[in-house]
Amino acid sequence: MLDSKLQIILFIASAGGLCTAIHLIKRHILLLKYAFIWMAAGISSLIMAIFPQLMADISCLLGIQAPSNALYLLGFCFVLAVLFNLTVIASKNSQRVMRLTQELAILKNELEEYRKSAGAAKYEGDISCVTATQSNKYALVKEE
Amino acid sequence: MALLKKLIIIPAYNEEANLPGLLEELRYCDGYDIAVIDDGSTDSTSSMAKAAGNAKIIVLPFNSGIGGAMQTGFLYALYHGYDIAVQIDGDGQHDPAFLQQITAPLEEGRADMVIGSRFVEKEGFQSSCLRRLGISLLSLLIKLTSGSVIKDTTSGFRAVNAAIIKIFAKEYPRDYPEPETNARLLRLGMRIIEVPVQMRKRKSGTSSISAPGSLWYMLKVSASIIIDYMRKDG
Repeated sequence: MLDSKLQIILFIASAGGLCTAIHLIKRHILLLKYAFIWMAAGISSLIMAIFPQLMADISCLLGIQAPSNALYLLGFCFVLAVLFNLTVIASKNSQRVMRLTQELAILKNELEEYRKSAGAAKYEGDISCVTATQSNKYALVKEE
Repeated sequence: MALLKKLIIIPAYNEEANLPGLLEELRYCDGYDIAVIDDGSTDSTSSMAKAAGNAKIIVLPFNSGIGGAMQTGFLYALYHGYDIAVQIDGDGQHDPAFLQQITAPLEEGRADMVIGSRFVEKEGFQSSCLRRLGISLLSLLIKLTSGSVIKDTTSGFRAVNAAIIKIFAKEYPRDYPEPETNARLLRLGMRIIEVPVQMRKRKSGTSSISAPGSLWYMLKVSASIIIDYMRKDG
């Protein structure tokens, strides 16, 4: 059986974690998509805390003598899985940032070229065009 | 033969010392557009390039590695419908005198990619002994996985046709891209040929690959070739 002290700690921690996750989703800080795994973990550890017999059954199934050890093992595996998942997400994001950066750099170059050609065609010989500030130039280009 | 649109892509990271000279040399190469990819330089690389007046300047807001910069160039080539893209490093070690030799096989449709190789005729700057050993190890690995021999598999002096521009714009390794992409293109059935070139020792600055970095280079590149061997798709 799970020690009753551990049971209480587990209950408070998982309830607290679950509430935090839900709170952050409500405030649009955490994406539901990524929070699901934490909510699932929170709910399952809540169930473990309420029905400690389940933990004893699982540890028996795994061949581990103390249910608390089984709990640590499961927790550790879960954290590893989440970490791995995070690395996947970080890689994906890094690729997206790269692509966005490249598109941005090309767009900036094209805007510059466009400004140059628009300026040359429309304001040829116009001194004010040469002295126009960046924002003025942008406004002139936008007018067209 | 229809006039082909040809683009020279120059990746440059803090190359203010070498870039003006290179752009000056390129002034006499007709028929090529030039795109300098300033890979988040902290010196005056992009203003130097702008002052030369014969290149388009694409400025990346932060340093993204040689692969990220080159891919920007390929993306630009794809968007503007270029038929051929050539990489010439901003450090000046690739001699524009060989441009014609490198692009000719593409223009004649004899190859999909041409690599300017130091080792076909073993002339010019040959790199250090240890580096050559590393390069032949990588060549061996590529020969084992693809069956084809590429002698100078780390050479960045490469020209590609429109089909490969499209492939590279979609997927290009962030760092140390050359050996991995050679293996990948061979796997995809692309025709790669090597033409002899002489490379110059860089005039100023240091190589992006340092001594302790060499081990990491070999490890990363070997792993990427082996992983690529396991891929099925593009």
